[in-house]
Amino acid sequence: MSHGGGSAIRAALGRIDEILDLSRSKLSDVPEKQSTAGERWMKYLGFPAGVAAFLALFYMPTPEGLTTGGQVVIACFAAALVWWVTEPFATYVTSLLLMAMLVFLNGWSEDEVLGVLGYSVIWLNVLAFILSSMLVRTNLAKRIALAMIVRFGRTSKWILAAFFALNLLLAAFIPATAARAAILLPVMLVVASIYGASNRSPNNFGRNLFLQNLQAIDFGSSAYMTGSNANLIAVAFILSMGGSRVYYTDWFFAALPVVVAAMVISWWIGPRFVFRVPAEQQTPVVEGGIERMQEKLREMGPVSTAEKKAAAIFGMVIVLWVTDKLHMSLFGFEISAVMAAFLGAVIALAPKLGLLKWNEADIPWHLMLFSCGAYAGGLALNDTGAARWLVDRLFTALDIQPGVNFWVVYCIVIAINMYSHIFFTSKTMRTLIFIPFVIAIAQNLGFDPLWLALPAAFTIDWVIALPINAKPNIILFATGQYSVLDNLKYGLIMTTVGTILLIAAGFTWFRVLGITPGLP
Amino acid sequence: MRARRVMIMLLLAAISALTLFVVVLFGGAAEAAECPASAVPDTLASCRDHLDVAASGDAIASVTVVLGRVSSMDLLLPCSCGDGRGHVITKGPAAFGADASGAPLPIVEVLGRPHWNLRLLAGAAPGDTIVAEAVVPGWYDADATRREFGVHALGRSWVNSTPAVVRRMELGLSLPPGLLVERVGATTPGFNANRSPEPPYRILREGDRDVFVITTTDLEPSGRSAFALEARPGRRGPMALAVGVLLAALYLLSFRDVLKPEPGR
Repeated sequence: MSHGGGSAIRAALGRIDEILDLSRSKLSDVPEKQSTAGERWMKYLGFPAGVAAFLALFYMPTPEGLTTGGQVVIACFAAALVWWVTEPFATYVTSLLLMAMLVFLNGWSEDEVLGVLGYSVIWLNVLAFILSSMLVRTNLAKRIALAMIVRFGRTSKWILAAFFALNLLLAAFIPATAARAAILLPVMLVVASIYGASNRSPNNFGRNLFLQNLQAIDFGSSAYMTGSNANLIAVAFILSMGGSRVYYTDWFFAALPVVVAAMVISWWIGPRFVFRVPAEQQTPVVEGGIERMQEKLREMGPVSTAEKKAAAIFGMVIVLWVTDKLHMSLFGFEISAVMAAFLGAVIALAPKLGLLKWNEADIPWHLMLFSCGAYAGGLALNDTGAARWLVDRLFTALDIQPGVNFWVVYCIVIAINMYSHIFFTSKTMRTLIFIPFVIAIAQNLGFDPLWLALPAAFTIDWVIALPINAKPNIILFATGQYSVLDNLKYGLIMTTVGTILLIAAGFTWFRVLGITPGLP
Repeated sequence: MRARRVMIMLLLAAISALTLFVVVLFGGAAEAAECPASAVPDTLASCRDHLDVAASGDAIASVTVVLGRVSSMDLLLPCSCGDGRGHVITKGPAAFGADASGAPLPIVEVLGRPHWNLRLLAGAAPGDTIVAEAVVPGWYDADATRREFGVHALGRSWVNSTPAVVRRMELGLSLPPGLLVERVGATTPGFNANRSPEPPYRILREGDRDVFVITTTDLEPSGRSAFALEARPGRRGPMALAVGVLLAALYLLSFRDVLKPEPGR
């Protein structure tokens, strides 16, 4: 990875107009990246390592309960996981290879594999990029970013903190994480640019900015019961299988402190230890600094008609996202997050009425193919029963017997649920598989299912280790501001932090709230 | 005038009373016709219908029934062994029904489908277990069932043609030796991970082959239990190994330049 050249970036990107011209670094471009010696070795050995992982799993005797089709999918997914991390070739090539392997080895049918391109998750990504392009094209993103920078951006740490706060606020109203990523993406791009980060010359500020936003979008959702659909599914399981009703405030008061603590820790350790931000990246690279940007904001003049139209279109989409629960009573049908974005994109692209020509829509199709492969692998794991089998085996192998201390089980459950996200591409899928297991374990051991299931539910939105783990991760990975390895490094550190926080909360805060046992 | 009014009122009252009487009389009768005296349906506590397929393709069909509430002494159960031989009852208070000459008739056709022709013996009671078996020659034909990728399409279906509710129905198949389940196709009952955390089926291992069992609870008369599978030989060919090793070797040889720093670094 490239860590430096702050002064060079200043020299090259000193002119504010050039910095704010995002057409210079389009998301659909795939720039060549510079890599360190270690990364080059990983790249070189990654392909044979992936092949070895595949062959070992493919040829091992099929274990009881697993279908041979499921075994093929596990082998293919393991190889792809190694290749995505080590990047012997581009991530989208790995995805295409994974899809081909699934078909040719009869892991998943051709129709199902090819059908993934039509899934709502892919559509939502495409539409999010169209809406994001509209905000960039009309300069509304630039205006919002400049306003944010002028208000909070004297130093990098405060602009990073502002994004955390913004994410926590948005999560309360917009349950779709991809939608939140779509809202913030253009603003993040402009802010990154102002601090000298682009996909052609990524820097550590950019890594912190995008990865911290990824984390804030993902685990920010776990502060609210309505933060994601997966949270609601977990609550439904806790009621139907565990017999305990969890109210919004139960969830909120328990999870919010954990989320806020995690955000503060991430904000603090990111620029200091994970991706150290050098002094020259701690302030905007624009000559004249904040004053010049204040001037630039003034130069932009009053909000233009195009910006107003963009704000109206995007506002309509946001209103539809926020009011999703009211749609049935208002319209008699529900407008999904995808269809809300669809409406916005149609208006944005409409002749005369709209603001965007097709050629101006910056859609990184290579990322869509990357997403397709990731989802195909994840869905095939689910469809063949392989994911369920793996989780079943994991808990069986742990051989947790009645009489064991509750806190031992608690720590194991939290750790497994947290780290398991690395191997899943869908929160919903993970919830459907894990939460019933956790409830069943609690019941077998004679514990109240709530003691384990609710803290386990708080881990659902921690999907931060890899770009394949969640929709916003893919959207932000499209910026080219960080590598898969960067994502994994920061993601694993924060997953560990999250695990420790949830375990500590289990011993303390959750006891006070009566979620875990101990206090009368 | 007043007398006429009283007459009309009396007439209306009489008509109303008559209507009420007819409604009560015939309505009650109709209700009675819908609900016979024995309103409680017959039940089988459980029924396990299993096929154990040998390498030759022949299979042993077995049915294990635990009686529940049974009002008839005749028990006709669907079977997969219409062309079978060696029908035998190995356990329980039952015998095969007989034909006109009095000879045992283990299988009879009901609605064009073969059924076990079981007759409960006097003293049969709820909780009793009856087991019947038969050999089905040539149930599995490797050539006829082979599909793309060398998998074999297998499946079973069981329709509850008895008047009894089967409290727990297990339909099973022990795959031919060497074959393992590649993929589970359509099943009845179906499996929707969004609605139920557990699938209705299990894949067990006996030696070198898989045993597939699907469970249905409270299978009503005319209800169905079924599954379709793809199975493949457990041993995999060497093709993937050869291709994998070759590609890895070619990559290591051809991509050594990956280790060199990019220009400008």
